[in-house]
Amino acid sequence: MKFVGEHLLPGQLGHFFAILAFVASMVATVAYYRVVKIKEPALQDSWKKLARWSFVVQSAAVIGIFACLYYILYNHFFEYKYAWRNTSRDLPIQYLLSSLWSDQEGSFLLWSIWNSILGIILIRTSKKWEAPVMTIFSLAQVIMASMLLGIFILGYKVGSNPFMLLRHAPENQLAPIFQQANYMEHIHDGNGLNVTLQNYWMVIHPPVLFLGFASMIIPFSFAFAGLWTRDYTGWIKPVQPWGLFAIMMLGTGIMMGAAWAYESLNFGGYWAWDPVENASLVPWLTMVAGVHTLLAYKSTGHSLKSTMFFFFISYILILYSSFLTKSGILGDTSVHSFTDMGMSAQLLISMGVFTVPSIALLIIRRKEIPSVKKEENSYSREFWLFVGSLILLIAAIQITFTTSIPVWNKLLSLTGLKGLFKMDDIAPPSDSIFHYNKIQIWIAIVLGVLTAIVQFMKYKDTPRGQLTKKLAVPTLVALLLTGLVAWKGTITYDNYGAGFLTAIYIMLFASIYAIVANLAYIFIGLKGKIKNAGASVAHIGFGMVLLGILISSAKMEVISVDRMKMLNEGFFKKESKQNPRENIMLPKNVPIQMGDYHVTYTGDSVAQGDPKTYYVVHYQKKDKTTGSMLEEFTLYPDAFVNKKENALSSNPASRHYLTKDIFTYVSAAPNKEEEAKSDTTEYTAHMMKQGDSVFFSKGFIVLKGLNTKPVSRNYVPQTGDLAVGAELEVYTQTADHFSMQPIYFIRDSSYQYSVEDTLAPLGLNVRFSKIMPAENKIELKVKEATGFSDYIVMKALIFPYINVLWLGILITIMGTAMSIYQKIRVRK
Amino acid sequence: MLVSNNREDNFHMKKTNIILLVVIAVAIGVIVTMVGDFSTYETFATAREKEGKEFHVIGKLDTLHAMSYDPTKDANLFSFYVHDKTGESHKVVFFGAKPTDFEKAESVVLTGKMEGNEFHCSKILMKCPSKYKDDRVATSSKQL
Repeated sequence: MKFVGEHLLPGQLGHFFAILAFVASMVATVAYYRVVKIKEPALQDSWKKLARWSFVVQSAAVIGIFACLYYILYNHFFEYKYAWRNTSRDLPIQYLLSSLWSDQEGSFLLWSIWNSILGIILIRTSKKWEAPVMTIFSLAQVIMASMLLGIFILGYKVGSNPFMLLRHAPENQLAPIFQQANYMEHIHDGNGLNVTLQNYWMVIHPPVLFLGFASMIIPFSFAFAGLWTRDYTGWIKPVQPWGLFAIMMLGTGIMMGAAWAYESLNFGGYWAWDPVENASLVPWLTMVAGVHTLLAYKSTGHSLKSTMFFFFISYILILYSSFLTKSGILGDTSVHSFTDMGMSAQLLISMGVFTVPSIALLIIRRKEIPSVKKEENSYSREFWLFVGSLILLIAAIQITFTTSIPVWNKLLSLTGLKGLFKMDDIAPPSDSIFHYNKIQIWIAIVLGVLTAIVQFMKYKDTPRGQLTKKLAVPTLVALLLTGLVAWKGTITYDNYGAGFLTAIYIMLFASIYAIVANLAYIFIGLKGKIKNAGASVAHIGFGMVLLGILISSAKMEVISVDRMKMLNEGFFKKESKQNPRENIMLPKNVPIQMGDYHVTYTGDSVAQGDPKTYYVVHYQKKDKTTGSMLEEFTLYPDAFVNKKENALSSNPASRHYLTKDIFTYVSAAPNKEEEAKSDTTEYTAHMMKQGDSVFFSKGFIVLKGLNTKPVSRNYVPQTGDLAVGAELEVYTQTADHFSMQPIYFIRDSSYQYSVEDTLAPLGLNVRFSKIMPAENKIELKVKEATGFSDYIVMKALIFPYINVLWLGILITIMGTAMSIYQKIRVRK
Repeated sequence: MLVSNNREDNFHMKKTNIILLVVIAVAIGVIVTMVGDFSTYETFATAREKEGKEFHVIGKLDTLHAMSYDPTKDANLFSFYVHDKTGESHKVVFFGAKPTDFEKAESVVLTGKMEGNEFHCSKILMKCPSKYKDDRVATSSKQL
């Protein structure tokens, strides 16, 4: 059948580029391998020429794939599955890139582009290391290109072709629509990009993260090249800036993801120990360890083997993380992983290709690797750098161990152990955040203290007394500051008992100590020479990150707590912990107290051409005694509203202060068309005397007393009237209360009248209908409108001192960049 | 001379070994404490046997019963019915707002405990057929 309306050329071109990239990178691998092996200069040169050209060709091909895919997405060619699945016509143009890397193929493509760019830089800069390093790079590119092939080799589907046509997708091949030649006439729009990915962080976070992933291969390649060519020490100098670059980029990428999670509140904060987050954090930890043992080696000759180990394991863990997130194995434990695309075997093989040779060679040649026979002195910097690296390794092991639970399950059942011991599948801890926190907090404490102290030590040996002398002032200052923060900051995070609170206080000290001591070191140790202060600056930033994490997590506060319902069901019951009641209903125009604020929902609005609905939430802060307005602002949390299913995809709105952020998030809103039913409720009568109260669904009404001189807008007194007003106080779910005064009066000595009072925001109507002097009671008739016509359910959170964390990250990045610059400058 | 060199060498090995041993010991200690935290996947029946303890239950939405979420009554109460692996259906109570796109979940992983005949859960993890999206819903509703 000849199909009408398809645009096949860009897809065919793209697929051709994918195959070209695969073949060219294979040629580059073989050619570079020959360069390493061949000793004859003339032959070596011609192989090198071939290798370089092949690598350039594969780089161009990768860019070509990207261009074709972008062209298809940009032009809404929905005959391609990738375009149909990830975009729609109404998708704002700036999010086209996020849809490009929202699927597995796109993320491999991004990774591959960075590998190509880094590869070309290395071809130009790495001189004698080019051939062995680029052999590994080219091999990595073979694997990357294979992920985008989507062709069958010996009956096994290798990779996944991003240019697959919608009608070729296995789930669609039998669909009747694709049996028609003109099927394109029926496909008007694509599936669209998930709304949580329509965020500017999702445009820049993946490229930076994947640059981090890609740059991790450089230390791996240099270490492997050193082992392979038996030049065990020559690679150290060129690798140093790259190691720093890798931790800087990966760290930035991870924290951009954290910033996205924070701003979209997808994880309820910036970090939730989700397996996907963990998987990229672990290699960062081991690479940081490697960079530190590398320093020890450079100055003393110790720790060369550990450095190699850390560089190898870091890249292996990157591949492992890519296996975890892309094989679908995390399906039961993570919200944010991909599903299986049948590439698990391929991902495992790619891991094996790098793991087996590197670790095997490290073991086989361990005796040849130079090492210092003399013991590290306990008063030396290198000794504590090594210890610190091992602490980082423990952190990495702990995080990996729990994150890998689905892998353990797979392994246990594959090896038959599960059947043998009649084991059940292991599930992640039910309180997974605390599970990580309770161990990692101790690691953070040790790291914080080491960061503070170790710079003051000298390599090889530190004269006794000098350390204590230099550290005395910073230690004292840190202790004083900790005391001050503890005193003023009132950290009372006792959800997990006194033990954990103690750990929080120790960590408070450790992080402040890291900041103060490194600041002091710039002046005491470096005599204020900023040029060399990169490490100290980075460590100050690290201390701030720890401090920011600590304070913002320990003092994070949900202010939208529904206290009314809490009282109903018993605040102090054991349920109260499980049911934190973090959502509160805001009827339109009713101020509700949250923390220090009175919050009012005043309506929603939509704008032409904007698919989102904006909810207007007004915050007011008044002085408690004088009632004067201290602060007033409006937030516009928005949501994509799916009218058909009444499903909401919310984005929070936030108010940023220097010392805190206030987040507002709409968790539900009514389907107004449905709610707009006629109000058929009847009045119910209540006999009350002074002090009695009557409940209604949102609170209760108290009869305060009777007023014989009532004043009301709706009542104009006449002479001879006998009027009584019922003074009512209405209490609602928050501390707010309202006054009402329905009036009963007798005019001309015989006619009874009742002036109704209404509380529109609560839908409450009250009539004062009778007085019974004998019983000293009155009759009130109360009517409540069924449901509110308009309301939102929202969550409001305060993250205090979050800026310490963000600033800390920036300073860490800056410090690392300073170090890189310094390392490159010195080399020249 | 040779002997003394050896002794120094032995001493050198010892110190590094001690650190490594300490690290291994700490790592093992950490792992042992961690394993204690690990939970298991249960069915409603097995979770009921250990009432009050927290478990993970994997199941599918039971669409025969309606789910209920009425924020005007309680903004933190969402209830629905779930079939577990054995097919047993139970009422599940979640103390929070109804998660977005809950209806679309192919299956759900619930973290919580049995309380009488209800499963009270504190966390819901929804499994959709694809990352962030649902291929098939769209193929059936949009193409034709």
